[in-house]
Amino acid sequence: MGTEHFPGYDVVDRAGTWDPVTRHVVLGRVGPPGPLRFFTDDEVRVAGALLHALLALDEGRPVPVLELIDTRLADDETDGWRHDDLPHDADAWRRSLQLLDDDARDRWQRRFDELTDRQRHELLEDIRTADRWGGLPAAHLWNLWMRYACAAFYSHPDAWSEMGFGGPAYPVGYANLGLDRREHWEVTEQDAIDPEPWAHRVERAWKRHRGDEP
Amino acid sequence: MKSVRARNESAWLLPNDGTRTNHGLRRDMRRFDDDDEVDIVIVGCGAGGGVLAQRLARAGWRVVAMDAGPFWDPDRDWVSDERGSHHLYWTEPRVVAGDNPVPLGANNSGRGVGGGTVHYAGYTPRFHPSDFCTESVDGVGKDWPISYEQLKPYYEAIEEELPVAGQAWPWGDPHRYPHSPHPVSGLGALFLRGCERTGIRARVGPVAITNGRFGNRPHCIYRGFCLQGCKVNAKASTLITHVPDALAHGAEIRPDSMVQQVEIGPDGRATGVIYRRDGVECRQRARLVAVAGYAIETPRLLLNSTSSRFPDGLCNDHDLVGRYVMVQGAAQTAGRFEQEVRMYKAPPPEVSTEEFYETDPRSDHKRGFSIQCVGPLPITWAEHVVAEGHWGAVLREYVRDYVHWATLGVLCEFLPLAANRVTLADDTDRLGIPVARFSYSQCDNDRALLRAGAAKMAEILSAAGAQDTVTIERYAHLVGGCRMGATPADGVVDASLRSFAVPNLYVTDGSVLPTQGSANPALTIMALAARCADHLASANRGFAR
Repeated sequence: MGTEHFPGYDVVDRAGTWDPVTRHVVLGRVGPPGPLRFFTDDEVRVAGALLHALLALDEGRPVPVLELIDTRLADDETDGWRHDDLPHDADAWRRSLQLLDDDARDRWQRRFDELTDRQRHELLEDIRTADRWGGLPAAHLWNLWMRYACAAFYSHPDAWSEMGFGGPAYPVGYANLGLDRREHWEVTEQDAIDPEPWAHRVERAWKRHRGDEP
Repeated sequence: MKSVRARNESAWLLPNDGTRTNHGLRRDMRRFDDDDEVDIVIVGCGAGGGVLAQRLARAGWRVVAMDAGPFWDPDRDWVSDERGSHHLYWTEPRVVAGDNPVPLGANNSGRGVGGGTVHYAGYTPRFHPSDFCTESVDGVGKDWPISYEQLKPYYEAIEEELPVAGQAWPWGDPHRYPHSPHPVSGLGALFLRGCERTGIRARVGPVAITNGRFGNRPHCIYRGFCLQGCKVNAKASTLITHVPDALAHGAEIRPDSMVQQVEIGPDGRATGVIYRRDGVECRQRARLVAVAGYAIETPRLLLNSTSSRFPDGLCNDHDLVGRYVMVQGAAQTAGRFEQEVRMYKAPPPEVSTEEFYETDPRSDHKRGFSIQCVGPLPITWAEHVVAEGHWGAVLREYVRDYVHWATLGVLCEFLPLAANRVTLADDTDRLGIPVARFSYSQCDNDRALLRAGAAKMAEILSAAGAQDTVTIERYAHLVGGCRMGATPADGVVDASLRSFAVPNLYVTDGSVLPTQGSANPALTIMALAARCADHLASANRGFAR
């Protein structure tokens, strides 16, 4: 597959070296997702736009974040706790998706998924920094969204390849420990492709995030 | 002391053919009937329960150790994957509250045989002698009814049984470790470099991960998934360090058994436990009951065990059950380096410093903190970035840069406060049993400590050459909730871990800790359970067969 920073690196190429139980679990995320069981059609519309914004999802190579979250919520697979001022996870998701649509209509007379990227960014940033939103504790709700979103996205091998992560390494393990040391199959990050210093890359990401730059 | 193999043969009872479980030992396991009055039923087979079961089985007792979760087979049940390891944690519902609510589940709550030792990092430092008398010496916390010297022989014994690898330890009561230190990764090297440049002593270890073969347990392969259950059998968990020997000496491990009540007879003594298995309510009779469900589930079980004698919960005459639950302030700071670090390689636990463990009279706080390296995997790394407030393209950029980051974690000794407590929530679990509600709020000393710890991590990373940092405020470990004390008004259990209220009921887990130090608690929990077993065996010689 190859990525911008680790050209030619696809962690799935290593799957033959993984133990069969791990291989089954990880590759299960790569294939086409099954039918949705939790979200309604209206919720899919809003949740899709929300996750797209929270994770800056790529158009070309979509990780099925919504489907992975749908499976968790349908199976009631929580993290084992909830804040006492938030409803149960599944209820909090349903209610907050409805609230996003309501808030978008109040402010711009459009559905949440019809907002421009800038409007959606403004609305979400307002929620992130609010004390309460729609009667819910905003920080706890934001934490719930981000926990589910990141657990889904960063469980996907495409996300691992993007970051150069070596992935499951059992039973072979890692032999080359230390700074700037790699296994023979790990790919060096390509500074030639992206020669900018770290601070400039972050600044560019901020411009993309605020919508100042595509 | 006898050789470790003569005391505990677990490592030699595991297979040496590349598989990880001795299925024959489990198949041939002794099994008791519910109507048998066993000598002891242990509720929870983790750090405390696993050690207690092994010791008492060796003493000839008839032992049943129950656990709410499965009897793990690392080959079949565990994966080298963060998301796929969800089932290792206590994910039944719980409610968190307070000014600083503490997330539970993955970070601090185990389920299944081995308990939290299945997914702890493997750091196994001792407590310092000062931890046992913070009230007398520093005017904060609570003195323990035992001293460091009383626990020391048990620390030494358990360190050999795990076994612990590390450099000679200069802090607290200076001591050595049975296994030499592991080689360090890029992450550990940066931590050591930062400490050297700031004049801070740091040491490699102490980690309960084999460095070299130990019995039939192989050398660590540095795959980095310690927190997801060690598929190698290199990292110590009681599943492999104590349970095999317990089985070989006639203990029964009863998995998938959720204890919902400790039963009390008309004479005020415990008669056994009521538990659920396969949806069926069962009763196990026992001469003694030991509760080892950890800081949330142990108070929950006692509070759910009401009777006419104990209308407010078992052993709760003085309103102490569920109180003084502690977490360590465990902020983590990551630094960005020009070189590739690849912190997913090697065990996340590698290097520590306890240079700031004790009270510094020049500071604005009492007690102290330790700093250790931690190696978050992708999902956890994303949580670090999210904690800085990032989302969208900025989140993606930071997370994508993963190979350049090195993460340190602080463990701050937050103080025991009565209001930080477990009570019962209105919610119930899938079995209809009321769940725990854990309320937690920091005090001023806690906040001052956390500031000092985070500043020190930033100083070390900066000295090592970091170009940027991100910090996440979080918590680690859970102890207290049924603390030991000198008198019934002071604690739920006494110095031998026997409850003051019920003469044949013991608590043998982290919930008995009166204070927590800034050390990871697993080794101390195991040492306390081993000490309790010695006490029980000598007080009940008639049980030996």
